[in-house]
Amino acid sequence: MAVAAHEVVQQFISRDAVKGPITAARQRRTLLTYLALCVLGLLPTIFGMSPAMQAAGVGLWIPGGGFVASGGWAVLLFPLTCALFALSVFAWFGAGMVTAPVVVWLGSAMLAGAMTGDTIWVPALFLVPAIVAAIAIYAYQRAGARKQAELERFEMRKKALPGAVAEAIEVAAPVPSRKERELSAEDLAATRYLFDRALQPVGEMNGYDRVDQFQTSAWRYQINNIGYTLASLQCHYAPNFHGYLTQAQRNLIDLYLQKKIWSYWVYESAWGHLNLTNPDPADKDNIMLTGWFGLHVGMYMLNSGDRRHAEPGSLTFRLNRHRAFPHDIHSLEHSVLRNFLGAPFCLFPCEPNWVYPICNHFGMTSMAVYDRLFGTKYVASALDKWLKNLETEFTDYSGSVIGLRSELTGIRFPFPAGEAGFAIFENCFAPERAQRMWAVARNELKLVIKPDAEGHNRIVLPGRGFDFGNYRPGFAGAYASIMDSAREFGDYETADAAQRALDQDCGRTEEGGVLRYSKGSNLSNIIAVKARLHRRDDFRKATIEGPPESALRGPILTGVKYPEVLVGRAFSNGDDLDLVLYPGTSDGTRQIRIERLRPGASYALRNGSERQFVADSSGAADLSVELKGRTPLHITRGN
Amino acid sequence: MPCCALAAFILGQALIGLDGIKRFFGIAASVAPDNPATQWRLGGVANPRKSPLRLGFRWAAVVAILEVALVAGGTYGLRAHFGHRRDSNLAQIERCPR
Repeated sequence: MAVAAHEVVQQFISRDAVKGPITAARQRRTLLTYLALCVLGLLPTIFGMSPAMQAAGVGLWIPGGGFVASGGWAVLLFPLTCALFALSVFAWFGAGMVTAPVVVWLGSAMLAGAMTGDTIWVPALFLVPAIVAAIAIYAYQRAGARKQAELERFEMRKKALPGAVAEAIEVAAPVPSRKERELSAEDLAATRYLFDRALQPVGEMNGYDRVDQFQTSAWRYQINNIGYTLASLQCHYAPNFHGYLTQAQRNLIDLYLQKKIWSYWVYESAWGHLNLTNPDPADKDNIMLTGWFGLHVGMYMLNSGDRRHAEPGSLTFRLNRHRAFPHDIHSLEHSVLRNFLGAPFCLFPCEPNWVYPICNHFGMTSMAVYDRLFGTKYVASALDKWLKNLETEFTDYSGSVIGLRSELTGIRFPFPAGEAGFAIFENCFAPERAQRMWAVARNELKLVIKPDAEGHNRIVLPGRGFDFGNYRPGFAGAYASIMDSAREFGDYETADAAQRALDQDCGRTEEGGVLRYSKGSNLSNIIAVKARLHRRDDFRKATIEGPPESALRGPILTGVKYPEVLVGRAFSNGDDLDLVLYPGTSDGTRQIRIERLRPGASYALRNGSERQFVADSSGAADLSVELKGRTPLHITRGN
Repeated sequence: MPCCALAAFILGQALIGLDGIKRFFGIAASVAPDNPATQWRLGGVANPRKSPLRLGFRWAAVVAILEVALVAGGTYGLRAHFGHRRDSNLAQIERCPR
């Protein structure tokens, strides 16, 4: 998507670095609530109430503070409660357990009251407020220092941005034409990693990482990412190959509907929304399901031409024999739109209360696919408000989109959320913003691109890395994500540097015809395949364009066995079919089936020599072809 | 990056911290470990070796048992504490026959 540099730069330079009004109001409310708690906690002491009440009151100032007032050995429970409170906050944003911190805080205050004897330990009345004040001063100073650092970064970015944008546009490779698109033998070895997982019987999870079903290692993210990659592959390399490519994508959608994938929401809606009666996963919040899965199903529908998921109940989440939540692509996307329009921040939560801008980017992109499929205006109806809120409520002083914010308290948690990850999505619905974000990311990535021992550029990241797919050390996910974004913006130089780092550091292994990275999680391996196949604007095109009409109505390759026959290319201009096949196991004669031919019409199969055949009354033909290495085939209408 | 990243980040910090302790005692590798899940192939390779993470679950089970024991002990202590307070009622003591 070509954009002019000045259009991209101006908006960023003139932005006001201020806190958003909703965030400010939520933070004020949180502060006032806390102050009210402190006053309430002080009342028993002021009015000389019982020692138990006084200790419980002190416990309202800080979790476990009441144990300090209890005195004696109970003081030891203070650090324990603090640790437990930290754990409960982790459960809060890890699994949406809103009740956990409240239970720990109030519960510890009540317990301290119950444990207090005839008197309280009087120094606690000074010590606890002193601890609270020290924490407040530390937090205030830290926030101030962070703000200062972000403002300095903003100034640096303002100076660098015009040049960075111009350079990013200049180095961007042109959008490749469909005629050039073909998977190499190495690409096919990489795609086999995905097909192996997607073509196993639905319900089996071989080759997936299994750690937990709440966080980033959850199966749902692994499934969705395979889905995005296969849909993109179909769009750009093989829109006229259905067969096992379509089967693999349908398997993934069927797998996602299984209870074990989405039942995390039963728990989260119970302990996060206090909703014990209606755990419908596509009702309130949960954009990590509606946004991600909506995009997955939408991309499949757009790039395969299959419209089955527009039928009512075609995406039914069955909880048990008696309870099911019937959905389809319409209800999923309607849920995304309804939540966008109804949420105070416009962006809405994943886990109850936690708003992650990145998942909201998935949600907006899923609506873009839906608009393309059904001619609706969902994106247009929400985008202005959404972008305004993203800009004011979810952007830090340096101009970066933040990682997450608590919808309830307005508190932002510090987390490095890179521009590159957001840019790739915004390229689908806000290309100018996307270009700016990529230019910022690219400019800052230059600092970590260094020559390897042979003098080739590669990415060098500090530390031991962290793989979000299995919570283990490693850089596979980071390299793959950088490569994916760089390719979307046509920056193949940066992408190649990331690919080199991936190959050198992450245990590149090729065995049994499958290419993988042994030191990466399954999720990182999937993203690495996605990035490998990616070319300029591929994600954008696979979400808001899809294959050309001629491909969607032309002949399709269907009946080929996996992994005997690998498909490097399958395109039709309407009447013909252009194929590039590889033997997946050994050279030899293989059966292929072509469908969507004109019934009874004559065709010619060209592969060096020419062979005539006639389509049967259903428009199909079974053919034998000799596969030896890269085997191009061209099927055209005969005389 | 997928969502829920902060939670993963904090969990990751905890795990990396734990890994640091393990490395201090010389029982963990200093580089990214091989992931057995990636070895699996459709109709191909034999069962990949067991994920070392399962060891983590075993440890979690041990920790959970310890936690249950601590809570039970604490509850017992509280019971004794309240019982003692009831017994230490002066009026009762005074009425107690010698």
